[in-house]
Amino acid sequence: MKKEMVRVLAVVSIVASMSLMAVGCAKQTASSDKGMASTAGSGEESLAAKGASDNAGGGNFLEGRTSAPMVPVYFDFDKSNIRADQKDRVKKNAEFLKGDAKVNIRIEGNCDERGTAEYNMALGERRATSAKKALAKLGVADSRMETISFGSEKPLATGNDEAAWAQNRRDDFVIK
Amino acid sequence: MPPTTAMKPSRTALSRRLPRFILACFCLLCLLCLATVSQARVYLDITSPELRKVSVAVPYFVEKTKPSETMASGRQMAGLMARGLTFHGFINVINPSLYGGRSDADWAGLGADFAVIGQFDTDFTGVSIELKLIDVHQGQMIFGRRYRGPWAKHDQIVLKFCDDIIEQLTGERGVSLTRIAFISNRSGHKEVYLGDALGTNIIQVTRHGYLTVSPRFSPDGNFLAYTSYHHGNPDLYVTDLRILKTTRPISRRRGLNMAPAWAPDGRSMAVTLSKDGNPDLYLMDNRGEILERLTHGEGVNVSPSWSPDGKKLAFVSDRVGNHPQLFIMDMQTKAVQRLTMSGSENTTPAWSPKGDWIAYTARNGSTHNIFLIKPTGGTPIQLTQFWGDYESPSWSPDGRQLVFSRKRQGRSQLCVMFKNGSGLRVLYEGEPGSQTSPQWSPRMDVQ
Repeated sequence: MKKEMVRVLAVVSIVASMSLMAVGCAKQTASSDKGMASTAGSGEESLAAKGASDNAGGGNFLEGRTSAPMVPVYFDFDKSNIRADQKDRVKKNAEFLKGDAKVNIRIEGNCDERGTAEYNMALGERRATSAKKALAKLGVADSRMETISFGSEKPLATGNDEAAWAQNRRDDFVIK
Repeated sequence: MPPTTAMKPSRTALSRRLPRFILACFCLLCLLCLATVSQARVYLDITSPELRKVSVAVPYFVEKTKPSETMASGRQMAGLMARGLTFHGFINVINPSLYGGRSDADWAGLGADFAVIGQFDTDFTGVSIELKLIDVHQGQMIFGRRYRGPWAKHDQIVLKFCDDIIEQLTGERGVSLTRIAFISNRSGHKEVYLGDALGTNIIQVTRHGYLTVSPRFSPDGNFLAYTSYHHGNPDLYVTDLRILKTTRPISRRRGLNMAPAWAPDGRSMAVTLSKDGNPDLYLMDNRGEILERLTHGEGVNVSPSWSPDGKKLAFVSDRVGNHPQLFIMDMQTKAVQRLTMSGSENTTPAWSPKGDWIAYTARNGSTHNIFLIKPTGGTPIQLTQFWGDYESPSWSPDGRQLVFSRKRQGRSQLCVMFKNGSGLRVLYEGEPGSQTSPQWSPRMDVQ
């Protein structure tokens, strides 16, 4: 009985604090998560909890969503290895990063829209990781780079042909 | 409030439901045994290919106190019952306008094999619905039952009856009281939604306003796991569908935390994490603690699906030749065997509830289709074959139907189809936006 009461109180106070949070700090940014435990950690959230803002569509089309002066790296269908013709682009990004030690980046892996969502999500992660490894080999500190995969969820080019698909099989290098 | 206390209610709720789930499984087992012992009770072998559709009359439900009047609610309930029965594919409901929806029509003259007679009674405490299933040829009632509940639940009560009737006719419970979880972009962002299997009552579950993927039901249907990017990383969350207010982060490890598949006993889940540098499968408990690492960097490893006995796990890997194929892991020995041998891209395995098939998405040329393959291998069977890309199958709990997405001209809708490739129907026809990644819930009770 007492346990039930405690449980009810807990739920009530969570709901109350949730609604307070929703009013008080609707605009939480992604950076506020940095201190968080890497595992579960932070207790319950509202099903309407927001965090990072979705800036899809930003960026120069020709250079993906990559922050200048870095350039995106492109991949073959279903592949995550750095193509021979893309190695110079990785080098260019490495030179820039080595020239400014204050810059930290997020490498975003993307896939074309063909294929199923979960496989693409994992493939995008492999693409981001493979660029991270290549940059590390060229002397960029591991700690300055993080990876994220958007799979085929944030296509930049929307056409249904190889030209559009090739644009979307891409790693972006975004300054944090 | 320390986070550990905040997390407690749903955690205990899950563990509290488990014994009940096991008990339910036991009862189901007993029922199945009964069904085999008393074969006489089962009327139809719906697995028989030469089965003709059974004709069923469902006259308008009658309000007990006003038997001579046709009530709108009585028509609505009969209509819902008819939709529920028809959904199972082997029943043809006779159009009630042919006999004015009267519950004393000449059933044999109308060509009915069975008649479903419904009566209801409302008062300030709710509604009581009484139902009889009549075998027209034998001229006798073969099933009668009464349920009570609040008026707001009358639709669910009607569907519970419907699933009872399917059980009486086939020996296995119907699936009209089930739901489909899916991803829709109708709000401008991908979020999790729920709709019922009959194609109505869509509700939005998440409102994170960013990107949400991979919904999965717990084996008892009360919890839903999904991956959301709203904190900037694809994190794994679980929400209690009976409350639908809060959600609990289960795994927020750096990188992917996605596509969880609950083990049939509900105690653990297989999930793809990339925290160690590669998308690998891990076994995790319901609090997000890692129990075991299942794959070790051999290509991509995603989309796990358990065999119903929990002894094997089907998943997708591109460990051979850079193309995704289906593999099966023996959970005891952890030995992995390749399942699909043909085609350059086979993904999203879904193990059938009876264990006899694995449905999946295969790319041939530039299009995607739904295929079936035996868990022991062999020649795959192609189910879908018309215009469009067909992806991400999920089984109905009776293993007779599949839900999947169909993409045409960039827009994706959900479809259901029978296991033999017949009866393709679009669910949520008028729903705006694209619907993807459907998951069929287990059977539920009136909630």
